[in-house]
Amino acid sequence: MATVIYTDAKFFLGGYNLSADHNQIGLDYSSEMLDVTTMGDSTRIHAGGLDTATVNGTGFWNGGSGNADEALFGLIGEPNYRPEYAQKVLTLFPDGIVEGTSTLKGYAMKSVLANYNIGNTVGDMLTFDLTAESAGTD
Amino acid sequence: MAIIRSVPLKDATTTAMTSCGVGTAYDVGGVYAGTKLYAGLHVLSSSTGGLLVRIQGSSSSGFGGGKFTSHVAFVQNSCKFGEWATPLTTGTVTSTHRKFWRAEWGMTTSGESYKFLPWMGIQ
Repeated sequence: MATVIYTDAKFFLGGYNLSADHNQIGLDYSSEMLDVTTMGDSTRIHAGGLDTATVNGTGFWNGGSGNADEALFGLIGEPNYRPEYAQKVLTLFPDGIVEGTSTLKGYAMKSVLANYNIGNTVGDMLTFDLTAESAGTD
Repeated sequence: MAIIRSVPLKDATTTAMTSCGVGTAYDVGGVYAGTKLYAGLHVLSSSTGGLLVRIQGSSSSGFGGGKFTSHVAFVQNSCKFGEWATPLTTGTVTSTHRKFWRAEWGMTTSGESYKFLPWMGIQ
């Protein structure tokens, strides 16, 4: 399988399956670029630094116990006072969940939820967007 | 490393498990020098009692009696939660490079109901 029509991403954050709340999910995986240019170089020379990963999502606001709003509101920053949120493991699958797969692996990281924004204009669906940043793997 | 490629070992995200069991064995590969075994668990529904999920490895897909080891034991929990297990190295996954892996789950009493998703990755 080389290409995918993006219809069945799966998004899990802690104890919540947030897949059905989202209509857009993206992952940015990158390395910091360090400038190691020295005298005598004729171009900028870069070296790879620390890796970073960011998951961005947008979706439809969903309130109530056990739903996305409750989960995301409580996850901002480091709210370790609630045991179910103490470890914010985030897992994202691009095209469904396939047990034992070698071709449709997911992406997983420890995460910290950096922002959770809600709102829209009058007459439109109430939406949210979020950003989750990587917090190491060990 | 900021992110891990994850291989789901049991998809119980839509149909809850109500009794103890083991999943299918999959060839995910061995843990070699310089790599680590990462594992995580999402427990998506709660139940009175407690769910205990383990990740087991074996050198054969048959997982015969006495021929496998539980390498990861997630914390037993009865509520929604996520856990990132302490990564394992070659020193903790034995000198035999186990390439077959499966999930095992148990609950304190039959009839409890849990949705969950254990995964692993070797990098």
